[in-house]
Amino acid sequence: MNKDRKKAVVIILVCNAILISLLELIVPIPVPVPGVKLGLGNIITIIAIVFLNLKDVLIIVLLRCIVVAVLSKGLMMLLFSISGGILSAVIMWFLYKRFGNVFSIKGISIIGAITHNTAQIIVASVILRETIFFYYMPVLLIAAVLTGLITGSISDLTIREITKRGIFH
Amino acid sequence: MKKIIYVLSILIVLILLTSCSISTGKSYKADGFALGTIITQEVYGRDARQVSVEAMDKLKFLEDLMTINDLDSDSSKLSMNAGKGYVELNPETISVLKSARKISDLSDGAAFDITVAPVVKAWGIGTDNPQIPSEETLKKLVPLINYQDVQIDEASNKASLAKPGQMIDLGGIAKGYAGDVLREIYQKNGIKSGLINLGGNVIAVGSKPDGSPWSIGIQNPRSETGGIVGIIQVSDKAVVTSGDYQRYFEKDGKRYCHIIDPHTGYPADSGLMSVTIITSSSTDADGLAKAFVLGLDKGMDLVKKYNQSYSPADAIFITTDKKIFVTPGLHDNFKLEDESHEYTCIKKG
Amino acid sequence: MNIRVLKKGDIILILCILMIAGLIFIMNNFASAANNNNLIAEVVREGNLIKIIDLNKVKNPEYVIFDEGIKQVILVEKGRIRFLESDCRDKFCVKGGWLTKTGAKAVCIPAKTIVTIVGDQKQTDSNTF
Repeated sequence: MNKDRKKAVVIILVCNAILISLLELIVPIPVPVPGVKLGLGNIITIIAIVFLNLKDVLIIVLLRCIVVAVLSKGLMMLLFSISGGILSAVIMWFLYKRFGNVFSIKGISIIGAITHNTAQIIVASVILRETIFFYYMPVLLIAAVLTGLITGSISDLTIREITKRGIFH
Repeated sequence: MKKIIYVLSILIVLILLTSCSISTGKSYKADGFALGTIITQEVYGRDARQVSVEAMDKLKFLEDLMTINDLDSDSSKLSMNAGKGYVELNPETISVLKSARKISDLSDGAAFDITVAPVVKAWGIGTDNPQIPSEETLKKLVPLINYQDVQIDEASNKASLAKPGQMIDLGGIAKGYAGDVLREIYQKNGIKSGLINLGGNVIAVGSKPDGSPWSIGIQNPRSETGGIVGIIQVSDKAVVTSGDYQRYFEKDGKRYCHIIDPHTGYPADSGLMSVTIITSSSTDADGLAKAFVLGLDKGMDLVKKYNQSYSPADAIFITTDKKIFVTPGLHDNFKLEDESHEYTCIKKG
Repeated sequence: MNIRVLKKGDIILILCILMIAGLIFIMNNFASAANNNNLIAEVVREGNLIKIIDLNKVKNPEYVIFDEGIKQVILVEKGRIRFLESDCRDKFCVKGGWLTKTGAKAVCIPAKTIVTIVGDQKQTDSNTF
């Protein structure tokens, strides 16, 4: 992939990440537990991990978090989503590069969902100096498995299609 | 396989670390006495302790203004100058009087009226010697009851009672008003989660720190041990109950409760044992709970009327035949939790 | 490879997460069960914490006696506590009877005495009365 092409890919992925995250806000989640969400933005992060280097992945995550926070949740939530987004991206990247033979994209996506949620919770409890989410932890974990499987499967399909057609090459 | 175990153990450690780092955060619980009752506060957030102290100080201040036991209180001043023109009062007292006016207006004084004080005094319920006043006494005193005789001059913080002999008793609204004042203190200090209990009036500030609603027990009116009949879940609401069991005396097998019907001058005897109101404003909840005087049907109408003209309110009426009537907003919320197994819940349309 | 197939690592991962979730769930419940076995009563008078009693460790009945002001006697037995006598007017505190559950509370307003069984595991957060 040459430089200009890579830039174009990054921009496409950022736009998609923002759109998909905003789309998620419209879809209601039928679980009344704070922290449970589909995490559709994760799909783009995983695609980026597969085709780009860590720096570009982080740029995509960062831009997505900032734009979505500004457009919807407000700046207070920015810190939460950035911490969750960055940590899960780094861990997924590490797992994909080093343990790609052990876990499939779906497995990596599940771990990403878990780290994303837990990182947000930790930051929230540190900043607010309150919040007891321990009680919800089992629900969050099981939800992460389900949402991770869903987003992982979508990512898997997309990645296969992109590779097959050589879109990013 | 080795790799799998390696990665998974890291993951497990990560998750367990998360669990440990999640602390209960700062919280403060305090019990105290003010407004002639017990005050319980549960405050979450920074400065929780200072906030609870500030709240307690405010309560004592309000108590000093509104007590009938102190001749220097605003409430005594107003009563002693009945029929003699305006007296200057603390702006806070004026604000209480205004709130009382609003609630009385809802039922045209049929449910709640602060000028019921002379009759309350004649009955003496809750004092050392409660008694049944004679017909003549009541005939003399009942005509003095008229909330519209409380004239308020907001601009100069003055108020008056029109006729000599009239008195006010803010006992029926003081706790309710104080609840709203306390919630403001909480909110002003950035407290997003707290639970206040002013002698049975519950004010839920926000929701629990973990985001779930507070669960509030509704007392079984005939349990001397404070047992409950049901539980509701609330966030950011005041829950206030008026009942015939709070203060009463019994004579010749008949129960005389402390809530006087402003129209008859007799203790309310409307087939109800308790009325619980759930709405945003604590003052209004306290006032609406006096629908107790009106009985089931008229009481429900009052709540409906408030719903239409002000803000959403829900209610739980418990009748003397041990039936619990709940308004539509509570159909899915109210959970019967009755250890005595004597009550039945009826969902009212 | 079929995309629907999970790798071995994925399956072990999912099983582990479900196990951890189950474990935490059990721990949560276990912790609350342990709390229930721990019945701690607090006696507070005029804002001062007078006594903390572990009700499960009480063998013989004990009395907490207040001689000054409004005279009161509080009786403590294994697993329960109550106002036994009080010089106050309404005697609501005495009528309240035994306190046995976490969160239960008996109050004497005239004497400013509060007896509470403290703990996290409560049926309700607060009661309206």
